[in-house]
Amino acid sequence: MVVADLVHAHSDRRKMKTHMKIRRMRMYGVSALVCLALVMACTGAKDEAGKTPPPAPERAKPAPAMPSPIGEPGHGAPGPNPLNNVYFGEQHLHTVNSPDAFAFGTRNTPDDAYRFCKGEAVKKNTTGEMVQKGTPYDWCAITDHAEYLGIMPMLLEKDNPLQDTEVGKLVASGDPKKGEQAFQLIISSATNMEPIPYMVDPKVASTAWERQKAAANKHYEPGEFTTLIAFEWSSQPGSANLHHNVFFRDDAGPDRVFSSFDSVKREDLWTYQEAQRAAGHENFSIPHNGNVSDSRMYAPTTSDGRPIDKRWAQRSTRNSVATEIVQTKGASETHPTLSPNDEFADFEMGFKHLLGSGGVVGKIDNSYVRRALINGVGFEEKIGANPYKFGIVAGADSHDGFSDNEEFNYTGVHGNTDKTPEIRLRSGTTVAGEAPKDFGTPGATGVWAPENTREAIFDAIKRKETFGTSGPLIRLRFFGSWGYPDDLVTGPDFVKTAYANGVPMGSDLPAKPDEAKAPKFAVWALKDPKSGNLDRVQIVKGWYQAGQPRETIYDVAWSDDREQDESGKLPPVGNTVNIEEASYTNDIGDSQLAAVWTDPDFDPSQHAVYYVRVLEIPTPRWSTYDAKALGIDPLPDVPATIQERAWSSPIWYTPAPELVEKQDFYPGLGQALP
Amino acid sequence: MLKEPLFHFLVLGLLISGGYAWLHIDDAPDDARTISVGAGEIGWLRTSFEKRWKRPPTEAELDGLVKEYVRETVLYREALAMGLDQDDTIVRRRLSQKLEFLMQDLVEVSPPTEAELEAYFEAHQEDYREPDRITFSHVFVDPDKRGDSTLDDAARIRSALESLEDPADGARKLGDPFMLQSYYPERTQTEVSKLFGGEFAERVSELSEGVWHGPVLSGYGVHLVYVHGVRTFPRPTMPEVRDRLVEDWTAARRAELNAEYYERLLDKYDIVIEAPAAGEVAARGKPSP
Repeated sequence: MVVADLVHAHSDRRKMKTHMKIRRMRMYGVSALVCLALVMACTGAKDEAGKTPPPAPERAKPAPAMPSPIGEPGHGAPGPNPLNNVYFGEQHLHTVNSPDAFAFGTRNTPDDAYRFCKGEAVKKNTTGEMVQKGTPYDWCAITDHAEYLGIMPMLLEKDNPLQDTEVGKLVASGDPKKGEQAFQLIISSATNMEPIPYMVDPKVASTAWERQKAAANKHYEPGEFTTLIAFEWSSQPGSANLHHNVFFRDDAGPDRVFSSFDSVKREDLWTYQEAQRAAGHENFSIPHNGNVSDSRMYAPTTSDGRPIDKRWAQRSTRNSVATEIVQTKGASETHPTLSPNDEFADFEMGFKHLLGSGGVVGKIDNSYVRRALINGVGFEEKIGANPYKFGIVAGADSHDGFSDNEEFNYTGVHGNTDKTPEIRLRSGTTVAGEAPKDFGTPGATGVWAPENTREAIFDAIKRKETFGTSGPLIRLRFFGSWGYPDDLVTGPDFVKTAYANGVPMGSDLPAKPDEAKAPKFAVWALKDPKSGNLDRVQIVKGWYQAGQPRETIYDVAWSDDREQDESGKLPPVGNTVNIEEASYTNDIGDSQLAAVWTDPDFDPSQHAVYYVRVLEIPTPRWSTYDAKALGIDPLPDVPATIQERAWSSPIWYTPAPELVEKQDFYPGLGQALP
Repeated sequence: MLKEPLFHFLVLGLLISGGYAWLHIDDAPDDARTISVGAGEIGWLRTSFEKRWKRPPTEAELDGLVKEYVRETVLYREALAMGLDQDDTIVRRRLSQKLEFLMQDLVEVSPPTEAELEAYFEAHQEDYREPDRITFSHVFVDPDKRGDSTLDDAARIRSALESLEDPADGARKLGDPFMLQSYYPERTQTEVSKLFGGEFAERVSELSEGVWHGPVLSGYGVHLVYVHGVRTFPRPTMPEVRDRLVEDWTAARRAELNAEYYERLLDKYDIVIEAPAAGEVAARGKPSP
């Protein structure tokens, strides 16, 4: 029944798409009927072959030998693509092997999670319904919590020695009350940092971790689908989220994970990472949910409250290569208070409480990525190293095993607590204290890599050639240089030239040639064919001036021949959403946007950071699709429509030392004026 | 008899209630007119409190918790006595879901016989064939750029392509700039759909080889498409797909048994459905599953 509904919903959307394209055609003065007829006639479907006999080449003729199509790569010719393909995937996901997910009622396994990412239909245990991605992913990393990783399901295994323990007996009883008691023991032990000894027994923990690694290796199909061995270090001192996911490049992976039972200080996590690296397990970590870190995630101080020094900054950058800009627990790009002039800053800001705090809103100053990137260049100026030099990724953080990035295909992400539209939209229901309506759909990560292998995906994230999206699979190229021609983006060799004469996202601009006046950036965005058209492409610039962070947002490409007003403001793209029907048309917006942009306000003495933000036209939020399914009005206190978006990893400019005027004080970096 | 779901259900029910009683040794015994609060209940109240407040309850707080527990139990029993659980949608759904979940675990499917497996394979052979791999070139004609003249332009470009010797070369040279490649060797329909959307992929899989087709629409705009060839694969033999076959057969068999079980339950009832009068049928929306 549920499957049928899903299928039905899909075909509805397909109809909508066709309809919208036809409408678009009508705008060009061709009637829908003529157009349809034309499509039918021209495409010469196989069953019509008799009427217009095409020359019939032999079946199964091998593909003609083609030179690797350099210049406009996508997923393409076999073998590595030197200009990189985009691979979409998941880098943050929980399954039954995370104790909190288990407590939410999740029983779906890493096996299920990988199969879902690959595009298979998988049964969601909490509802029994089959769920399936509209567009499969190319790679996936499962990041179950290191704390009691994989232990909970063991409690249910016949003959497992854990069954003889206090917690084991409670869980095995099958009595919900006893089960609740067990979870409370476990969760309070994690909160109080007093691990239950038999549940962190090295033998038990190692068995669970080996299974986790084996699942990752089982689903790794080089060239087709990549998995990474990974886990989450879930440090949250004082309810402030400092969680980092840790990823490995090799197939063997480390012998043991590092949990917040080992330490809640990130410096200790780095020590673990460095030791693993020395032992041959190349790795990096990715912090996430700065938005609920109480100003601690991107702070100007170390865990012990001392000012960041050069060595700390270098360790940070070496170990933590990227950060998550959006996931189900909200966006971390920026906060309207930090960016009052950013008209698009208020995006998925509903989730605002520190974890398990019972409703405490944390401080925002050092909780958001944009400010972290800008303070990063401030540190570069102040101490000669940037502690927050991050690439950009996005993730799910789903606790049900499903990487649910599609707004129209959202089935909740926290087990029993948000599994149906009724539960998600009902007021008063909570997911560990938060209303389901305030969660967003998972984000997606795009990785520019020469091929779909573990090594290639890992290396691309490490060199920060990545971008994050709020869910849609928008493709985004971003390059910086001192001398791109202004017609670069319309030429056939765009990408080849862009690489040859500049640097891709995630890089430092090369040293400024004397004759260069300002950096030039090339950007190219292509919509998700299953999502909304593109509204605009923006470049966000951050820099340090007089010891303070500064930011400006430039619109660099936009759809529909709109014109900026005298103040340079671009009018809104419009809104085609029919809220009652949870539908929209692509009559507005463009499929692709591209531009070469020169920084008009460049000051060669200032450290600066640039990244791209691409906005889609407004489309229905998941809660609006849910309301349609229930036949009710959308919730009044969350937006009915959203502008989905993508964010690139930044490109950095570092002035030659002799150009820089150092300040005596950096109030932006927590250092007060005398 | 041993495969009879209802039998399993009863056995499991016994186990559950027996196990439940055994696990609740600590709990004080209750009867209809007694509400007892024993060590078991108090322990549970205490941990709930600790989880929420990160400290044990004071004596006064614990007293309050016990009072609240008693109050809830009194109201729950009275509500039951008054029959308030009857015809409550949430209670109904919760209980039916509970039984449904139990059913899932109860139906034990014995392994298929060779004959059963062969029959299933015969009936579903197409599902196990490797998908076709299509090699195609395409030219993008951008409606955002060309507006009203998109289709005319597409027709013109198509004629130009038809006059060229090498279609792949033509695809590289003509049309509008597009981020994806102009030539894709040996892609499955799923792979094409990941790049261009399902509609386009379906369309392309139906095209005949060796000529230019179009316009073909995608979520991006208008394309002209040339199929160089399609690689097809022979049907697999049973040993090649055996594991998947067993898995699928088991899932299908389980669904069948679940349906049978429901049918037997259904047989115990007479179902009377009165057709709704015209105009009573809701015009908008439908209840979600």
